[in-house]
Amino acid sequence: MSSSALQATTLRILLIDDDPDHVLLIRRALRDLGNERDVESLSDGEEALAWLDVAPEPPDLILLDINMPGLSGFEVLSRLRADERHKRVPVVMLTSSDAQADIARAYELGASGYIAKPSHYQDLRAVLGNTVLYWSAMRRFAGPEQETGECA
Amino acid sequence: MSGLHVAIIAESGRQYRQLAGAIRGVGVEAIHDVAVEEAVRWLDLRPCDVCVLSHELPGKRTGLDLLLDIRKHCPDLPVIMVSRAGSDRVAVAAFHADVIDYVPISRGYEVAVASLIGQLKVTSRIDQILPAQIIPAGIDQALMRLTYQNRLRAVGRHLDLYGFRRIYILEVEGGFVVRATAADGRETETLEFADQHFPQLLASCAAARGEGERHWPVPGSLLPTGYEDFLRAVGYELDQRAAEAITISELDDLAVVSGVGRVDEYGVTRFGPLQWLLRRPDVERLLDEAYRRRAPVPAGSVARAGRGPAVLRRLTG
Repeated sequence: MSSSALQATTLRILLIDDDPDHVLLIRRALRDLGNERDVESLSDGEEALAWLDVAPEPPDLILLDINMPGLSGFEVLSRLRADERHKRVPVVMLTSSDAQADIARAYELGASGYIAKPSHYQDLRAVLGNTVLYWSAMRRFAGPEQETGECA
Repeated sequence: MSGLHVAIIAESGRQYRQLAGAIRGVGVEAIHDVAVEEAVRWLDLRPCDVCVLSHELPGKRTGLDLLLDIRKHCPDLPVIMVSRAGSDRVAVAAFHADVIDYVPISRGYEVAVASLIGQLKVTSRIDQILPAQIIPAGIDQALMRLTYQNRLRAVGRHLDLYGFRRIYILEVEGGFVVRATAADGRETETLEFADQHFPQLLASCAAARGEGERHWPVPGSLLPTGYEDFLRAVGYELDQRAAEAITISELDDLAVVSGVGRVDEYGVTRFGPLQWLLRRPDVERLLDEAYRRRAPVPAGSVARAGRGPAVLRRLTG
């Protein structure tokens, strides 16, 4: 499907995963999708939260492994969702395909979606395409949520 | 079994075998090894559904040169170009020549090519079950609008027809990408529902089923009446919220709907991220509201403004 004004290639992506093989796989897929230059990859949750704290602006998309040593993906996700600066950033969890309970828990914590490992090129492409639409809509409504003046 | 015919114009016999093996893996059997020097004539004489063309070819000509010749005879033939060229120049030139995709050759590239052909196979199957002539006249135009309600209904009907399950729908520009487990439960497939397919799909929905008709319930399932009804009902709520960029994910006992749209917060409606978590009772109430809404309205009654059922729980926004 075609490109848009906000291109997938302009997305800034933070990849948090301790598995170097998987990081390589995802980076390669992202490179094929044109995102190589805009991917930051970090291998644990503490490091990622510290990076986010000092980043000049939040990334457009966070790909977050659930199972990591130290802070788990769930803990990282909870902290992100409690943080005003990062609560609107789509967080897509990286998980094994049969981990239904993990996926459900991630959604309950505010995850935006998931990609089953080993990641498929097409899954990533679809996630990037959806993220482009998401930010396109969000930016059209001028950053912070815009009131419509309508009472519920 | 797919009826697709795939022509491969490869750099070498090894490359042909590599691509053909992967393409067979998505259920395509009619795969043809086409020699470079015969390619234009071969494609001109034989009907072929998709061509995989290497940019690197034996001899002096490149795949781009050959592609320009092919276009003179077969302007509409879907072509997937593969290349070892590391430059964007080849990719850009290929897209100018109207390839449907460009796949850089790296480890596993043949799987990406096969996957693209797998999507074409599904599209072809949609076209086979929905030939243009079945669009009947006199369909209510409201059912043909490209709302979420209508489009998701059409997606759901397709999923019901082919017995897919455990779905994950992502909206992208120009349509929806759907990941779903196939009926035999062994493979996850990626389906694309492009906007240009919807007129036929919607007509088929409208022609196939009466408005008041319910599907048989499926005991124990999260979605008691299948995907068509569920996605139609969810689509209605998304339309009410002027939603965009949606995703719908089905797990064993939970469906999650996300996107951007109008959300109610402290008595004020705002635009922002929305997310609904739906369990079986929520789905049942959603479906009941949808059936009531579509039931014939008694004369003199006033249509209720749709705000969505209370069961739609917003988590973020």
